Amino acid sequence: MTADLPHTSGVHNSPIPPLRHTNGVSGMPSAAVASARSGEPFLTAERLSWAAGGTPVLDDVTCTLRPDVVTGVVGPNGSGKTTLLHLLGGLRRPAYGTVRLRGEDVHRMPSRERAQRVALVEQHPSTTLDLTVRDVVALGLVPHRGRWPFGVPVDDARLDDAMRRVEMDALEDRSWATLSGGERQRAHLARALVQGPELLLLDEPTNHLDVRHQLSFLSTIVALGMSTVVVLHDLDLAAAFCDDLVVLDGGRLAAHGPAEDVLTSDLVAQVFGVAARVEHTDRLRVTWQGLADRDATPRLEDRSTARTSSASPTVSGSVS
Amino acid sequence: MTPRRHGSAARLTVGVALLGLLLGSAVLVLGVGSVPVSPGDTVAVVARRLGLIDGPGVTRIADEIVWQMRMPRVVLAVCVGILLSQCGAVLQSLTGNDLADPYLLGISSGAAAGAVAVLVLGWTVPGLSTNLVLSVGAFVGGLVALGLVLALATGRSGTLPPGRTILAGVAIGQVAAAFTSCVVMVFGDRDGARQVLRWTMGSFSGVRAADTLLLGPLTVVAVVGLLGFATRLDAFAFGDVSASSLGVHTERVRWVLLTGCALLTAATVALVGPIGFVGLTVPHVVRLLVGPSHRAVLPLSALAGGLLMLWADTLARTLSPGQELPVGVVTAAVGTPALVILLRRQAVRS
Repeated sequence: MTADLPHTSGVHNSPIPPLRHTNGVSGMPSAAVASARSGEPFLTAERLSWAAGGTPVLDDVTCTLRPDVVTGVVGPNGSGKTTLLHLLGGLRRPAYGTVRLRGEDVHRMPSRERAQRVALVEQHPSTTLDLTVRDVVALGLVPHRGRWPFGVPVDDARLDDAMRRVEMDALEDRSWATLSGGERQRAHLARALVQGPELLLLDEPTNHLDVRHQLSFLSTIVALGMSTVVVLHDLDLAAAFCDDLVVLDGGRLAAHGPAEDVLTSDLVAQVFGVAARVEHTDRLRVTWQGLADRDATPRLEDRSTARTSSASPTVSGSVS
Repeated sequence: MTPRRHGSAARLTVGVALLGLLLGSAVLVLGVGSVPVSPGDTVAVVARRLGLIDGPGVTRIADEIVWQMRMPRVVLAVCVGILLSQCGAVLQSLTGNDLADPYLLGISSGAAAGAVAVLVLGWTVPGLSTNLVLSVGAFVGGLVALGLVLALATGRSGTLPPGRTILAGVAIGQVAAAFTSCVVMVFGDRDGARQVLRWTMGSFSGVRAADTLLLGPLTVVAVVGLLGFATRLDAFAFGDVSASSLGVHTERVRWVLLTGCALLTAATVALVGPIGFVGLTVPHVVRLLVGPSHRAVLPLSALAGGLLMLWADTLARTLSPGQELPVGVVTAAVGTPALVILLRRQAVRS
């Protein structure tokens, strides 16, 4: 990994032309522009709770996310990362709590408007259909189409632009079945861009990718310069590519704020049960050293003040 | 979905070809039978009946054979083919299961149980013909099966997961099939068993003009209505979470379409019995030809389904002089090789 990893991608960073609800200036939906002007925070999750069959999966999570940065969601298996992502995207209704995107409750938005403002790239999208890359990318137009499928010209330039930005333009006619894992993720990233969202949600996009494709994919994400929330398992990747981090442990918020403030050896030991060296050299690095004794590590509650007080003014959080 | 491999021109070509074939075939098969009528006379009869030409022009016997005897059967065959292929295409997309067909939800078994109750147990309704009671019994049987499947599959929050829905359909279908077998074995005689077997393979013999008045408008409404779901069905390509993230109310769409398709299927089963392979194979064949976009798959499946059923019924009534073959046998014989050939072509291409 080189020092300037997050900025090494050669992707084109030109904006995708807006489809609708846009002011024609920044490409943001008009409602978003209005709320941005009124000083609403970009994305707030307030006391979010969700349970599956009576078992709590996410419990009382509150955090505020900044716009135009990459926020990583990290935590051990089963800590509620995907659930949090789905709640942030309005795909699941919380048992308690709210999610506000520029002041608007995402769970009360009309579903098409929500899909125009928030896009999700799933962990392992799979299909039995014989789709080309272009077919997949064109799915991003679904939220912008009316009920009747005829008479609406396909915005080919928009599709081309999205594929070019994620370096999939050369593969547009390739069958989905013949794509590698990394190419599939890029195809879905292009689909998400076609949706024209303010907020991009990525659920473990680097799973099952080799290290080169992991770095390449995350470099592309950083180069897009969008407000992004990405679930990651690899703490070193999270440290390298994420501006902010949300750390979950057992469905509760363990910490959140700028990555360099949140990631400490104590937190990694307590949340992940792993001894790690966290260094600020050319970039933030996390190096595993072995399994840790959780009981010997100071409890998170004892360290909460220091972490939250060091967060940037635009980020606030509570540690449960 | 905007496949360049299957561009608009290709879809238009396939659509025009299928429409031409369907209309040409209809003219041809209206003249085929024990008393042949030339295509020219057939066109004249239809044109005169539709008020496009004046004067006698055709013989009375040709008019009776083409318009009164064969036309209801041709129209009904096309309508049933359209409805089954539409329902098959929708269910395959909603469940993400290539093997889904219109009878997935136990509709055919439920309808068969209802029909058997009428056929074997001799249930009658004063003032109604046996055929009509049979249709009503089959329709009610199909609805009961649908109700049971929905009750079994629905979660506490009103969700209708595709996997559980398919399992519930299989379970209810098995129960209904067991009921049918039991009734035939215990109460039926040899004729009863033969009648039941014949009914379960589907047949257009005995259809009436009144049936077309019921199914014709229903088919038009269904085709237009389902086309209104084309974009939302596209969104199901990668499953529920993906569809939901694209702004589709997945549960609402699934409830409306599963229930709607079940009712449409029950209507066709009530009139002509269950006819296999059309709903399963036609959407696959059309996807192989024009790609997966539902704005192409739905209308072109309708044309292809109508065409397949039209010829299947024509072959069923003409292949064996003096005796009609079950139309389900012909659809299997015609539909399966077509699918196999296209699958091989796809395998070679990929």
